[in-house]
Amino acid sequence: MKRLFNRITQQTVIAVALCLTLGFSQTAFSSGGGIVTDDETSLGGAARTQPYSPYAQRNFPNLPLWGDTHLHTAISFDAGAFGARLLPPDAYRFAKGEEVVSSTGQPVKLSRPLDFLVVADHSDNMGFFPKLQEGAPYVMANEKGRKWHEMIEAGGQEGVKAAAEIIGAFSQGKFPEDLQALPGSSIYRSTWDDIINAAEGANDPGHFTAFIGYEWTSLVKGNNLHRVVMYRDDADRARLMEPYTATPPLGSQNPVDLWKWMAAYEKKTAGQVLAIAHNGNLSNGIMFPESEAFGKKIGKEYVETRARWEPLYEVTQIKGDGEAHPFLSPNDEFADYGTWAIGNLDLSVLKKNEMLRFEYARSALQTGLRLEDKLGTNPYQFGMIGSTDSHTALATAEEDNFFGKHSGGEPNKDRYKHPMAKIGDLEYKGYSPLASGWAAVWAEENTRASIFDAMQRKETYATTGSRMIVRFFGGWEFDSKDANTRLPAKVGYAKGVPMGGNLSVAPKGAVAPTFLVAALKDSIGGNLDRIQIIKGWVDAQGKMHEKVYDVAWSDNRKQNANGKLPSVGNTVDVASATWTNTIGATELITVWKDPDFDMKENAFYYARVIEIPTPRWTAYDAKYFEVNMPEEVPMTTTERAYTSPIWYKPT
Amino acid sequence: MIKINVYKLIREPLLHFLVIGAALFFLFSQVGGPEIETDNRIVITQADLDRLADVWLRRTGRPPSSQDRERQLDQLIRDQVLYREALVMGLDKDDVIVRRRLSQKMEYLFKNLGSVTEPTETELNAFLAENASKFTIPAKISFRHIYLNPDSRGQGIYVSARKLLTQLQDPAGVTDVVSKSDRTLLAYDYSEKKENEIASLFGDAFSKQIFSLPVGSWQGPIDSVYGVHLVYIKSHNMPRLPQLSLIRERVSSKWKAEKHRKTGDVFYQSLLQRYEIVLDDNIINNAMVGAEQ
Repeated sequence: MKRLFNRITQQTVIAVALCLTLGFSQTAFSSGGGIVTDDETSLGGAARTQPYSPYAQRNFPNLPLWGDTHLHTAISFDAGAFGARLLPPDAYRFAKGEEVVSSTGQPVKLSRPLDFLVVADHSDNMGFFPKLQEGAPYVMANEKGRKWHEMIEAGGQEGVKAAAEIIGAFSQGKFPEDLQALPGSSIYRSTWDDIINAAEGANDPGHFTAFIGYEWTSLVKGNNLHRVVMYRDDADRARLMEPYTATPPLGSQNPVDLWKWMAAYEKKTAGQVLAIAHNGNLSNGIMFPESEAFGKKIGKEYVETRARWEPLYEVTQIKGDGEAHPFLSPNDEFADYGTWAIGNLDLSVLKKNEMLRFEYARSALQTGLRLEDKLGTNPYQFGMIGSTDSHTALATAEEDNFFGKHSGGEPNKDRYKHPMAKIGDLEYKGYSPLASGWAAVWAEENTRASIFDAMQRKETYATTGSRMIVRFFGGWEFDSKDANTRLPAKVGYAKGVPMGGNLSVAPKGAVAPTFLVAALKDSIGGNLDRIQIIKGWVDAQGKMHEKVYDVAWSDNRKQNANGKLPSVGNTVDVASATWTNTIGATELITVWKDPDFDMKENAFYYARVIEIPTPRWTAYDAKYFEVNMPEEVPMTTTERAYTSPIWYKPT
Repeated sequence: MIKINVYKLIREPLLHFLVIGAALFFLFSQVGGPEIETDNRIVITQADLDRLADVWLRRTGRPPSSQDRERQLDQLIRDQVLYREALVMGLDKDDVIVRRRLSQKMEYLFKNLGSVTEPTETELNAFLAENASKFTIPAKISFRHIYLNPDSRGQGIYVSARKLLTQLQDPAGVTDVVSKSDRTLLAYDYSEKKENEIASLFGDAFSKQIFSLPVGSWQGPIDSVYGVHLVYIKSHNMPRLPQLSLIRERVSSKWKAEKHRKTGDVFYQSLLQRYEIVLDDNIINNAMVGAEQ
């Protein structure tokens, strides 16, 4: 298998690495889930009325919990085909901060442990790859199965071809029926048991949360509609039903059917699940539909059901950043970050500009406002998280510690130039994967229940791999003094709603909403360049608008006459893969009032925090392996965070 | 196929394996797979066909038609006939897949050996002592701090810090500690944090330093990646090994896992001893060349 792996990394592969994930998420009381009680601060005008009972004081989380909701292991057939050998227990050990040996034999450890993890292996063909590898009888009984097994046994070039054929067959719906690992079979049952047992074994309430989960991998002719399904529940409930698949007749490619399965699960087990969509950028215009989906008009039922089951969107990950696209946001100088816009997942159909509106988070939030005007419910009122979608069982999102998209992309001197996937003349460049991202959750404690509930209320934000602390509150009465209180969060909760919430009804006399926003740099990361607030709204004619406001920035820079802020500069020395925090700020905080507010127009606001430039993973590769990379390879990055929006609805 | 392996087990001199082997033999003889080699009858049951029909239903979403069922039966018979003939011709010998499959079945048997006994108190205590490092709870501290911002305070920051420290060390000192701090998004109060957790928030140097501070008084100034801090350690719990009674379940499950592994090893070693392993000269020569390099 080592040979197979090596070959895979060396060869052009004619297939697409699918992203499927099961996730375990873990959180720890001790590593950040503590609760601050506001018993010891003087807050000036912030706290308005004290309750009679001196003990009835409001609790709120004082640190976000960090995790990955989307990680694959060798149980995922594509991960296995690309050489992954680590399994869910390894993935948890790694996330908890232990050193492990990667599938390519390299020792690896996180700079800091994660608080939670969702191992999200593909529900389709769950457990198939280990069976193929061992030559299970049912595999050998099938002509293709025997051929693939023998190719993998042969290793080298043959092994590469097998991996490519397997993934290609799945993404075009041509996987042999007899080989499918289907729910109801003993293989499937025992694989699902293994996944659940791994989560139960790693779950350590108060310290690390291991969530049970899987990825539902809908690919409509190569168009990505994937969702991670994660459970609030323990094994006793999760075991009662096997995961839902995307292959008919047992499964379906239509998200509507996944939502039915989720409802059935909750009805049968009295449990709770939620779904997180990802990679709209590879959906070719079908991730966030406005008029119809799967031949059916978008109606009341669709919008209500989607809003019910999908509180979050995975806005950034290894296969591209999905916040904004420069075509849709020509006035946003930071919109073109980690953009992947060649085509759909397997590059079988090329991208057209008219597809983009239905693929990116910002335009989806706008579409959601329009649908709410029309149908009464906003199907795209989602919060933001990032995750890796790594297929290596290693949740790595840091530039200096990036273990790639799949095991073929683990550190080696040529990974930047070997296409991640190639179809005909089209390819995903080897350097294009992003070392991204994390899910930050404002949960009270590090348990399945507490994190899941925070996700349901969307009190989350996404980062591209940095661990900056970001607060974002909206209300009607924040004033500039609130940015100077010693516990900004206390004022935030007292006078407003946190990220993910709806603004309360405007009090009499209020003219515009106000926002308290603050960010603290990652203790080992780059300083902060600026905080922006992004507003989206729909006018009376139904036209969609957006505007990006710089609201706080470093180094006393002055905006020019057009309101544009000069660049923060760049201290990166690419050759040594270093930078200095001599520019930027460690902390930024401000109160901002919407200057263009119209009481009659529904709107959303979210914060985007941008770091100063730092070396990209390619720069660390170039230094470590002593290679010269061509001009076209980006060598710096500007890490960022996206908060969940706060919504305004006219009354 | 398993039955043959079980025969080998019974030949094994180690008594407990013999007992287990006999039990397995009994079990398999009761359940009864299709007889092979001893006669030329192939027995197909309704249960066999129902299982095939069930698989069909899952794959296609409809039950097999009567024609489909006939084909399934034919195929099953064909498989059995060819399988037996292959055994007669010795095609199972030196086949990598057959070999791997059978060795997997043996591994599976290993796993289930020696799984019955519950550890005694003495065994668990001994195991806990031997593996103390795996069960030790790391050191943890609880502390409060005051933060001084270098951007707003500039060069005088350490002077201010020392002055503030003197005030705080006065026994009649300040009660509202937070009001002395500059604004920060960090919390002011931390409970039961491990060294690496503090390090991930404030940086390594800060974390190392505060773990060496005395408990119960204001100390500083101490630098972090964000600025300068005065720190009050409320409690410092040393690393400790919990009583067995508090972690019995974890210790017991690790003990069992270890026991399984050891039993499997012993079993394998006893099997290995029955073979003479012959490595051909080329292998030995190559290994020596490799070692020299």
